[in-house]
Amino acid sequence: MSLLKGPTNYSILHLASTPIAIMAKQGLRTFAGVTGDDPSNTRNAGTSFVVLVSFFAESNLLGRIIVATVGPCEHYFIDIDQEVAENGWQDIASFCVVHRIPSQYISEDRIVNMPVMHSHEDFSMYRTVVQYAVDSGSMGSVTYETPPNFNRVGGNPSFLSFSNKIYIHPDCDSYLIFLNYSVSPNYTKSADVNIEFYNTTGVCMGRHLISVPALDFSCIRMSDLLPKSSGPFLSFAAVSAGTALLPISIVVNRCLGGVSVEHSHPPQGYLLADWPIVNRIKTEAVNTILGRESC
Amino acid sequence: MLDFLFFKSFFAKSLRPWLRDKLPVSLRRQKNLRKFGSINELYFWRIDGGIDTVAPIQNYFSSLFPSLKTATKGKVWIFDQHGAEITTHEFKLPHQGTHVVRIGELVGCEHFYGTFMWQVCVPEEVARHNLIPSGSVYFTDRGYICYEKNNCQPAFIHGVDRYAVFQGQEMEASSLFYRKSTLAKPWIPEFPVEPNTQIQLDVIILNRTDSKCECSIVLYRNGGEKIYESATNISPRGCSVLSLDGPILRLLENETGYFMVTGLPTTWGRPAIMRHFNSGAISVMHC
Repeated sequence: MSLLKGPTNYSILHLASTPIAIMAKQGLRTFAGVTGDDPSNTRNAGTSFVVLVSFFAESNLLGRIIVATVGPCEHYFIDIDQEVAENGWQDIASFCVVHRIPSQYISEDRIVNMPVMHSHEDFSMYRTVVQYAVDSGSMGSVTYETPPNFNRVGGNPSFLSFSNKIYIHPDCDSYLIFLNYSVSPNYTKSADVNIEFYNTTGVCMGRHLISVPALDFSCIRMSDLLPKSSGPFLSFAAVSAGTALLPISIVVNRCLGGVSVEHSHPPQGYLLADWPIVNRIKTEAVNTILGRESC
Repeated sequence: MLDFLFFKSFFAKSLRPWLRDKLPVSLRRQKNLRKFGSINELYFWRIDGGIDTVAPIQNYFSSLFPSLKTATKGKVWIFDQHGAEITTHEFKLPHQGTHVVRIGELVGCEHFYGTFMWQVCVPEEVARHNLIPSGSVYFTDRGYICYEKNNCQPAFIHGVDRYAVFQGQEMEASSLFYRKSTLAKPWIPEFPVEPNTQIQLDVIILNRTDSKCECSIVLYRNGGEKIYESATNISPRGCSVLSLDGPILRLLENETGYFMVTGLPTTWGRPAIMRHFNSGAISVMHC
């Protein structure tokens, strides 16, 4: 383990990367599963990677740590909490990004000053397994990556999310989290997210506004907002203008010790249509939900 | 002819971006996707070992079109592991509503696992929206499924692929999304297999085509040494559960490993993993 030194090349950082919420404050251990294999088994044969983890606290970079290397036919979990503790950041670190960088671009503790011969396309679907665990040993996981050009500075994305389901049960803590990350350096844009919650009959159970700082995440514990009698299954629609976010739902059953983790599809995943049509449907939906005073 | 030019010809790869811009959508799509309608997904269900499968079927049209009246109707089809229909179930879906289907309430105890799908009818005002028929829009439901242990511990997973195509507001499928068989594909999930973290790991594979497929799972120790292999035949619309139980996981001898699945019959039909823990809890993850 060593601290990355020297200048950072952002195009190398985001060839294969995944932003991750560190859930220690919610009583969960956080792990990141990495491999050198191409999941489709068709590209980049023989490539090995340096695994670099960028840690953040209150939207500020604490440091980028070279954790290990991972080669072909190697899969393992990184204990994120252990890395945090070894650097003395356990009281402050809340957010991290796991990067896999082809080994040729890093020499010892520095990014090599050489032309970048790869693009994100070469490593599409290179996702990280994000795993949360409870003390009893049970764990839940999900796999995802930083979307291409995610919140690139100069863009004006909008955010609409409605896939995840909320599970309300007396034995469970149900969390809804939103990650605000960017592939651009010096990203500082926080996001205001409006969320409307619906029961199965379509009745609005409430509306909530949450701010998500840049390079960080915000977490809603559903029992703080919704009565336990309102479940078990609820849906929601979350919108934000000007920022894209990654929503993830986590349900922890404290009695049985189970953890459920799942992310979502963006609205374009629900529409087979030309982009201008997709964008118009999405934009009108966001504007409609943002524009109304109550749901 | 256009199908051939766009999908198969020697020049297709280099010309495709140009053709995409020049041709109307009705001509550059495969034949069954040139009107408007919806495409659903095929999901896995199980009702064994204290697990029930719950489908909270959301009226996703309400979020895409919040200013329209989107109350509609829907239907669920449940199949056994060989793809044979067991039962169907129809329902109404209010604006912003969710219809909760518990498979255990619809399927007899002689069945343990299988597949299911649902169709949410395109609501009237959405079907009449000026963008939808003219833009040849197909709605692709990405459902959320909950495997619920002991009626209290959920494990959620979302759909990953496409299965049946419904034209317009029809409630019966007109064709499969994958009309022709594609080259069988391998997949190496990123997931590291740590032998001592779960007591069993089920790898779930579905067949979203109309042809039988043969899939296999190969378990490797890190470094690439093959230590276990198992194969299965999966009927059209059927599924298979390939379990890595305690004795198989112990072959890893406390080392971390990984697995590869071969023979996947559709582009995005990657396997799912269900893990069973000592505490009785479960978790699930798509690969």
